[in-house]
Amino acid sequence: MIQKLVIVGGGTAGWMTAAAFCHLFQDSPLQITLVESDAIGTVGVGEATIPHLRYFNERLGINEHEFMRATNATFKLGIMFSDWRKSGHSYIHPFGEFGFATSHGPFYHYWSRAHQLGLELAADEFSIATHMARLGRFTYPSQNDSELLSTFSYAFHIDAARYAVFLRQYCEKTFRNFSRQEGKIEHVLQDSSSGDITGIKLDSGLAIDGDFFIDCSGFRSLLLNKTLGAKPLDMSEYLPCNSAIAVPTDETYPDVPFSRATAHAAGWQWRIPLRHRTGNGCVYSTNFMSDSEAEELFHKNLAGNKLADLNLIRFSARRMDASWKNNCVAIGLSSGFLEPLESTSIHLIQVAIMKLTELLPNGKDWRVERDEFNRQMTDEYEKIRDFLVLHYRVTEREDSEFWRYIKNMPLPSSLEQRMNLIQEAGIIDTYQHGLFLESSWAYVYFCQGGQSNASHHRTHHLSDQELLEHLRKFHAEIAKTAQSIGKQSDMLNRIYGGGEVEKWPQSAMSLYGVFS
Amino acid sequence: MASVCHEFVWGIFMNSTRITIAIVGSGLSLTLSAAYLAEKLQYLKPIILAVQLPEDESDEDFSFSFPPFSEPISPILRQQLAESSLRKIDLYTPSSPAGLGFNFSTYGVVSAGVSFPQAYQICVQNVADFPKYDRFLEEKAPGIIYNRKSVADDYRRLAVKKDVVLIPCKSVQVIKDEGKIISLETSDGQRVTADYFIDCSAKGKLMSCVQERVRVSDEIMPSWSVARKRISGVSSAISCTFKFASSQMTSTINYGHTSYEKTADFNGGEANAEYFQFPWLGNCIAVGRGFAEIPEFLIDLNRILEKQLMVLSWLIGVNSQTVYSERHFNTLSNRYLDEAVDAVNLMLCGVGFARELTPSNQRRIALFQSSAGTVKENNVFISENSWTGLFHAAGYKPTNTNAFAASTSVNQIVGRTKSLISR
Repeated sequence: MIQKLVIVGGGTAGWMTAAAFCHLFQDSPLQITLVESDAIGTVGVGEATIPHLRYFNERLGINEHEFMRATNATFKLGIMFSDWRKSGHSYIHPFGEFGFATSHGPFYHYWSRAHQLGLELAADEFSIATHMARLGRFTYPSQNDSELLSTFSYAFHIDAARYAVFLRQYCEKTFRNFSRQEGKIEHVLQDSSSGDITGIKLDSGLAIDGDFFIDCSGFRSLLLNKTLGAKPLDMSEYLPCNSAIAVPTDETYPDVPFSRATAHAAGWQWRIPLRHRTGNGCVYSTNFMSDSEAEELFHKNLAGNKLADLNLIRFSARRMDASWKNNCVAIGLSSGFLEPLESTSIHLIQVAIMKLTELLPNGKDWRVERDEFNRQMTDEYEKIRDFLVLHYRVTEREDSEFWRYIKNMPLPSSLEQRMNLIQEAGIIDTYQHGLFLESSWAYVYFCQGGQSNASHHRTHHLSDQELLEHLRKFHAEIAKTAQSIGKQSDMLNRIYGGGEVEKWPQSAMSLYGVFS
Repeated sequence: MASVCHEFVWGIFMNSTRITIAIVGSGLSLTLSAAYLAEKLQYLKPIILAVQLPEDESDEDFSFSFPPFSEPISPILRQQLAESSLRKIDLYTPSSPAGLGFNFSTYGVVSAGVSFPQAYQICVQNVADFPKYDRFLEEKAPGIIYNRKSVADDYRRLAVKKDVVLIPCKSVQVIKDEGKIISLETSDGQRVTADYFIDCSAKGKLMSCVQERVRVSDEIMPSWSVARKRISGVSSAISCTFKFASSQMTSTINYGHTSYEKTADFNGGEANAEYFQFPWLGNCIAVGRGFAEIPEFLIDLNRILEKQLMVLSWLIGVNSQTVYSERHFNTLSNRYLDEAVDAVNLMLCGVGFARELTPSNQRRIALFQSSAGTVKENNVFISENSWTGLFHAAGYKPTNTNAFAASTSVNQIVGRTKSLISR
């Protein structure tokens, strides 16, 4: 049994890992030490989250309203993508099911056929979450799965730095098996024969030994890459953006329960509305846009007053060839990074923690578990990579060198097959394990103008006329239901003001409001 | 109905744009395929020709199946269940290495936040004479025994009602051109042309004309021979048992007062585990027994056939281009087969009939033995946790648990697990 677990690095990854291990191993003799330095800044990734985070917090016994107040959170029902398909076009990728499935098959077949028949309503119009988001409404999903309001889920926009502070307090106040050590790491100690890490030496001279190490040192990947020699596998061929400028502004949007991702000539710009400020960022590829051009563009699209200096972040889309080597697992940016387009950074932290707690063996020989963990993480990264590339590739844009490069770049074979299958047979391939499922693929593919040459015969139990009528009626019902819901700001005021507010519903490891 | 008419050519409807599908096979495979496709493709209004070959010995009288029942077969099974001609059973292997039965429930229970396989391992380690793994499953998800001939008849009637044309014949000859099937000529001299030829015949009589079968290594699945026996007046019990002895695996289905015994001898034989690498190639699509040959216990080839039909019904007749549909179908078909091969290989290795575990089984077993873990795969037939049941049945034991289970209070886990059992 591992006796001493050492987490290197604070930040979102470090504190989420610490909180999870402290909670899950609170009755064990496991001693958990987190080493961080106040002198080293954190990237603070992931102000926008996805619904799975609710499951993580619930598992830790965290009160959702306390969490919201501590992190200045607002609700998130999805992401509005503007100018991705073409300039002036926008759609929402919601946390919700796409329409409703019938005994004849998934809804997207019906929508696709209706679209070919001239239906004017876009795919995202068939999500209650989209309507609520556009109207600035919010309510908790119903747990009665016969109701329309059960077909969506929600996440949060949070101040990630505050989330780390919140989890630090959670660890330090609650668990006796936890300690935090301030200091910069000067040296990593290794066993000369096995190469295993045996301890770390801080700039204060203090040495901390451990049986197992978790590398949350961010892009530096101090243990996994620098010490144990894990090799980065570059994915920038498919995801060419490699820089971001970020800055918070004082503007607030109390009735905008969604993130914005607005495409530009060489990347895209985010806007994340928190309770007290707005997070902004401009993601771009330096191969197609200089830093100064990006800065100029960013400022042009910025609303409100800046609350800090611009923060320039360099990155590349990549993952390590192994997230677990020897007695060390990397979690978060030290393991890999895919760009923040679909808010997957915190999710990848969460998934790694969950997989590690499931696979971490009780003995000292972890080769089998290590290989399985690495296999599963590779699978997670590749599926998310494919989904991100989909956003760039399915577009009419050819108005800059960047978009022309995207149009002609090779695709991962898995994505190529998936897209061609949709086009040829109208089928969205599904998988049991992995983040984005059928509805997400349908929303993004169809809303960005992806076509299918198939009009599926299995929808032909409805005539053309019946189908169009049916969908228009369903759409009207969704719109009416959304209209009946209160404003997000009212709900937030109650939560922040301590007023009477209903309890949040049970969470699930799903984007689609499926409680399991 | 087709008569012996040398001039008649089935499937030639020159002025029709309707898609024509010829299905070749026998028994339940054929009628199930025909009825299911006729139902699911009804709005395409296809012409479906079912070329019915004589039944062979693999068209057995009875079979068992286990949940979840696939969409193609479940309506008929449900109906039969209602009519009581179908019997619920618990599958049991009294002489498997561990003396355990195996069953196929989802095991979706968690004990004190610890997954069930982990909780079970903790209980076994800490409580003397803790109930065997299969005990948790009784009555929860019984398998069923069904009369294949009766179900095949039901599907035949259903198919005919849906305008499927049955063409009985003794044999068919394949007429092809540059690797593509042009038509079939029956022993009666009838010619059958079609847009698609679906092959569910034993050993893939059509597909073997356009590609060769690939053999599964003998170490993983040794050759076998099958002997079948029908014994009357043995017992009134309804049951299905597997027995392993020497190099033989005997499955016995007791159905009322008749017992059907099938013995597969793995000490060499004329049957080899083989499959077609591309079950959809050109205009020929091999499903079930037409796609592969494996020892049929745990997962019979009709289960694979059902899954293939479900996929096919979404792909066929949607677009004249089928490059990516074929690739998709082939990927899924091979995945289904791999899972079936893994399940059989696991049991054969457990009893020493096979010498080598498949690579995916090696991964599964290694993780299970190391820390009672289960590999996350896109399982179709056997759920993640049900693999644990199979590991126990095959005699594999974990040496440890994961650290989380080990750190959780034993009393809490045992108490919670006992309360789950007692439900």
